[in-house]
Amino acid sequence: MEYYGRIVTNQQANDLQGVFIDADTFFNFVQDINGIYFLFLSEQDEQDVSNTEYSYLLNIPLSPYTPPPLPPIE
Amino acid sequence: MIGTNLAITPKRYAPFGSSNDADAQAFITAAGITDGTQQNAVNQLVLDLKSANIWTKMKAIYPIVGGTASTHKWNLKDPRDLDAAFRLTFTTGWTHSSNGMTPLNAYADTFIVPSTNLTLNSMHLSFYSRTNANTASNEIGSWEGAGLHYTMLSLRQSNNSNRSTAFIQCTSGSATFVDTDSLGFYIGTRTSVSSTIVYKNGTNRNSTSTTSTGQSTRKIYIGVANGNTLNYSTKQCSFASIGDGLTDTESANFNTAVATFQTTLGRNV
Repeated sequence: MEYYGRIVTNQQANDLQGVFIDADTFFNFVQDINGIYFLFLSEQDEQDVSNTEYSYLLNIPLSPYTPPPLPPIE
Repeated sequence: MIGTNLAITPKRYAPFGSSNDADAQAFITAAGITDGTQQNAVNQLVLDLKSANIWTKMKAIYPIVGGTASTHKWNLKDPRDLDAAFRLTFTTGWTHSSNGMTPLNAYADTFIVPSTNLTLNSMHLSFYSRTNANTASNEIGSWEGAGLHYTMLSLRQSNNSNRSTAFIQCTSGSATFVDTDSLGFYIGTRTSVSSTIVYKNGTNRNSTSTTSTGQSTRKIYIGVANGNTLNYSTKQCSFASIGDGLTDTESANFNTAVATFQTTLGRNV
């Protein structure tokens, strides 16, 4: 299954990681196989973000995400 | 002709919810659960866990009921809106619904640290999955790194021969079995220094004599094993718990209680 997220800069990821968008939910950024930071938002997150100062993030187009290689199980 | 001296005694009803178990009611009130079916399901869950003497073995119970982040976050054992009460906070990427919560590169922080909050040789994790998928994921856990202490529950891992696996307070060695689907209620438990068992839907699927070696100092996450954030889960979670170790009988009774809970909510798999 292919996943899509929003590409952000390293600075944006560092600045916003862990910042709450409401009482229960905070930003999380995930690196892809090339070390590029992605933001994944559910439809509910998008609604919540749209009411915040971070609504500009919704203008970032969706891009395909390729995860990094996996570590060994044991 | 209708008489005028009919003696009509008004029937008295107990105020809605007033007969609930006090612990169940505290959760219902905190989470703002107004649906009668959901209230009854939570109440029966608490009664069943207490009847089976499992309630006191729980550090955290996440019923994932109500359909939103603000209702899913509550710990049934301690429904206060505090990190110290182990209520959840969520990263972006979760989709919440009446059936549970589904992650996309996301996790929920339980604030439970194994080395601080749990017992080395008596511990369990549980996870109710409504998604059948073989992915390279860990559903719940804490992982300090390769060769270091970890405790986690992983369902039908694509990078592990479709095995479902429980590592509990160890550095290697797991209770594990080849799984044909990843649907249902999974428990990984350690009940002694040399016993780890993985249960699926109340049945002991595998045990191992792997020795406990220590406890992770990282908080337990739901949706990934904290410290191994390459293996995000994609499975919809409809229940999770963390607590003391559970025997065969306790695990079977726990499964029965959770199955009843999910059936009442119409989301059993």
